Amino acid sequence: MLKPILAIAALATLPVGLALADDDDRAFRGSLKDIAPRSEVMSLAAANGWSVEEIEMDDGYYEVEGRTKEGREIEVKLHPVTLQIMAQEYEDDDDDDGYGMANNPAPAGSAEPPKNGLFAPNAAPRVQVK
Amino acid sequence: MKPLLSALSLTTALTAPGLALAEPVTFTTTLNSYGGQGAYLALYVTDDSGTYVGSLWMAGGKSKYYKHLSEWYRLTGGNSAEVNGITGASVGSGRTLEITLDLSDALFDAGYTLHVDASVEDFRDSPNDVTVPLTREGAGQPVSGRMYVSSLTYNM
Repeated sequence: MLKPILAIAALATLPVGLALADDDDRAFRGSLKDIAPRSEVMSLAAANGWSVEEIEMDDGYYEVEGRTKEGREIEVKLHPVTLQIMAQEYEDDDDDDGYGMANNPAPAGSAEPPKNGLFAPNAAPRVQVK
Repeated sequence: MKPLLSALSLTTALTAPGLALAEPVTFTTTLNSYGGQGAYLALYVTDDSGTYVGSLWMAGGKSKYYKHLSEWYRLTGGNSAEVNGITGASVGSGRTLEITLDLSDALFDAGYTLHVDASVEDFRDSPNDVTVPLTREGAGQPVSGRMYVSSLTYNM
């Protein structure tokens, strides 16, 4: 539990300008004074039920790594000013970078189906690959 | 106040089949031996007008590949939250995915259709590999797929 906090604290002390100095065309070119504070990123993460493992700046955008409340590994790219979600990826499937093979048929973590009106409340799916 | 509550409960009953009784339904999806990587599969439901209602299962955990499940992606805007808690790994060539879900009774004999989109790395995408109306009469009857799915059966 301490590690993520230390990582965030260490990152918080770095000047944001370092991350923004990238020459990449995709880099954020806005004003530093407009960038939302990390405390707001943490609030957003809490509101979405993410447990945060790392927050960093990449090309001027926030990147949050952590887990959803269902236990899935997630990586989210946020706009540095508005904190709008620019991209969101789950990383908890197979080890390689391709589609992979079936080795983990069940959802990661404690699964609860979405509340889309199709499922009985609090009924976890049972799944197997034969 | 009473008329308001009545109207509210009627509206809710019409839009949320989950409020009705639920029963376990097992979906058995067997893939052909196509020889490639594990297939991504999206199982989802539309109503009688073709409107997306919700997802039942996503086989494949990396959301960056969901765009290849093209019909599911078009209907949901690729929203990963649609499959939170109902996502597992991709399914290998020739393997069988068996999922048991507690579903609303109101899904059957009410004009809903089950769709399966399939995608395999470096192979052609297959939206609507399977489409089957959800009826009690159709339970236990295998339905053939178009490309990667050999057969799909649901039992209740």
